[in-house]
Amino acid sequence: MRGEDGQVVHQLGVAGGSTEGKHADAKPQENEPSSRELLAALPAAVYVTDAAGRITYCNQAAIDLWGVEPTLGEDKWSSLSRLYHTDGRPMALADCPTEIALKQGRSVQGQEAILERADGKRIPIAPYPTPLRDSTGAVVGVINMTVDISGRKKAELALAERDAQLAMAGRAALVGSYSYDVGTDVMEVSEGYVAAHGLAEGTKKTTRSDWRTRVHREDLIRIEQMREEAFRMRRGEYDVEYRILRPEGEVRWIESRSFIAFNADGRPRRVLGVNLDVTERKQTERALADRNKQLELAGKVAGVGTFAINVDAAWENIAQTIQISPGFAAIYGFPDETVKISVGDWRSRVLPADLAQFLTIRHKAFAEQRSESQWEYRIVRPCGNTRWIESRTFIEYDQGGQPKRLVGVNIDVTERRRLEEQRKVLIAELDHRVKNALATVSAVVSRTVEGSRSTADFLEALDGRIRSMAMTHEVLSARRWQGISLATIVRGELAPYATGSNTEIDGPDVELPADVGQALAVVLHELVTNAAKYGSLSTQDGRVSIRWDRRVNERSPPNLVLEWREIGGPPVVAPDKPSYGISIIRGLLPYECSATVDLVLASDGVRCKLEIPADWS
Amino acid sequence: MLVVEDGWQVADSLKLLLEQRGMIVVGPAATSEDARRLAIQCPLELAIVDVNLKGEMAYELMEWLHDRGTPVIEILGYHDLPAQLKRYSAILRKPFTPDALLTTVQRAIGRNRTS
Repeated sequence: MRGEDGQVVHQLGVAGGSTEGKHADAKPQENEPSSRELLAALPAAVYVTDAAGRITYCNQAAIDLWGVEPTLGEDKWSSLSRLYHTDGRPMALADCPTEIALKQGRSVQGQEAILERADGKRIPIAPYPTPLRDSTGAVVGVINMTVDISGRKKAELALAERDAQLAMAGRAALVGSYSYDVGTDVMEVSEGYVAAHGLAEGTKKTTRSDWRTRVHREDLIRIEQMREEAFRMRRGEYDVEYRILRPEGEVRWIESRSFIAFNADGRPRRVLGVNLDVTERKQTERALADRNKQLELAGKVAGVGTFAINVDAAWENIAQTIQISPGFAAIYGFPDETVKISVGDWRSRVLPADLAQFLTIRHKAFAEQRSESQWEYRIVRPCGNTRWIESRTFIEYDQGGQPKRLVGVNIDVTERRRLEEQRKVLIAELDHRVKNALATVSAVVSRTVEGSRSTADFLEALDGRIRSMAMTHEVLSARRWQGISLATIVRGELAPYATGSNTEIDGPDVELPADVGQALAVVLHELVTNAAKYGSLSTQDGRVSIRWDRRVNERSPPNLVLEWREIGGPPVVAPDKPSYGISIIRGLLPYECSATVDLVLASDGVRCKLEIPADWS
Repeated sequence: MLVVEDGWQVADSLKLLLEQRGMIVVGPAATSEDARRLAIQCPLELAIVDVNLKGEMAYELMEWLHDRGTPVIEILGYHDLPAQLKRYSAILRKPFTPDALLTTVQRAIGRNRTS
């Protein structure tokens, strides 16, 4: 066998009657693998023709390819099969590679064709015919190796199909890819990229400069920085997220991964990338982040915090981590940004006595395998404040019944407790006042009985006194016990007897505290009752004058001075035994308010001067 | 006996009631301060003290009296008994009847006299 240059390439060995293929005469060389063996090893079809194109040799693979066994020395190669171009057009004989090799004396390589067998089956092939020459250089035949490329073709087809699928999926999922040449600024883009970026359908190429016009101003700076750094540091890849503005005006989020290929001199040559439209995901993430922030803020404001611990077997280990929410950090006085603390950190904040009790309760819950545990304890914040914490824990157990994970809520209930305490105090105070009032009435009743000459007398006197107390209470109650106006008390007591011309009331606006107001009201009631029974309010011509003012004194706060004067009434007769009313007038204010009282039962009219120290004005 | 009560009408009524029964009343006093002053001046057989004096609780006064060997009858307006007051000789809740007061007084004096 001679190659193109006429040199002997190889001698074909022959033997008769072998199933490994028919062959012409040749002697096998010694100490070399026999040609038979070589050809049997070749997965490709090999045949040899004479100058006329008749098959002089072929291997089994060739027979398998044709599906027919040629008669050596007779059948022409061209009769065993028909050839077609890859696009399906029949191949003219003159164009067939073997014919070209035979008639033009040149070998043909890399041409693909479709071989149609006698039975009609079509097989994609790649023939490699080489002309054989004799010593004179004349073409005496052709040796052709034909490779069945149907496997490769199938793979190519599958790949093409797959590509098409990817492109379709890419368009649908808005996944795009690109290949960017750093030198020319040109980007070759996939259909998915076109779809994601809103480019005209069918666009295959664009430029990076064009891309820049679509990118959000704020993000562009960040991207360029990252890219520049990646180039400088010779990084193989970098990821970046950014916003683009599509032609219709819609803003979309793009997640991008870029792979950089560098030249030998370290300069970037090409960038391959994948873009993914993540707008929906971003919006969901945003919404979730916003919602979480709102919850955290609400929690923080409301003094509610959450925590989570993954408990491990050695769960007493105080180095274990607790994940905490901002609300939790705020409650305990940890720095704002703290997201985790150690068990030790938490324990150090809890009051030791309360901690011991809390742990006992928790241990019990674990032992009983309860899924919830609740307790209250005190903590001390770094600033020194003590707070009451209500803690609710939900417990997850593992197969072995050991606590595995704890999640829970801490609520700062200091305010709530304070209000409860306050409420208790108020109720006790209310209780006290009511009981005091009842005790006072009881005392007044028994004294009134003593001083009354008849039942009618008693009832009238008692009624008057109780009404007076009730009225004062009512006025105080309307002002929430904050104080009472002196003028209101005076007018209130005089009301049943005032005719419009028999009273002179004069004095500045003075607000009395509840206890002083009540005491003064009682005293005024007695003065008025007395005047109405025996004094100047018991006659038509009688008058009562009540004047008050503040006595300014350098040293002490100004005292309240009130003067009561009865004018034009009947002559006053001092009783032998002081009445209850008179004991009240003389005794109550000095006893309860450290006041001084000067009651004069003068014959021309009762006079009374009260001076009440005022630490309240 | 010392009467410590910040309301005039109730104090006056207590004094009258006790005097009618032949007791000698020291006071009444409206504040702890006045009460202490009176207690130092006179030997006391008994003190009747309203726990809630104007604005202040009389716990310290009661301890002081007790430490001086004076039995104390506490007058309470509250429903709940504060923890401190458990060990004293007698408790009277407001409002009380004259009989209830007198019985308690007799018992307190009687106990003291025998011990």
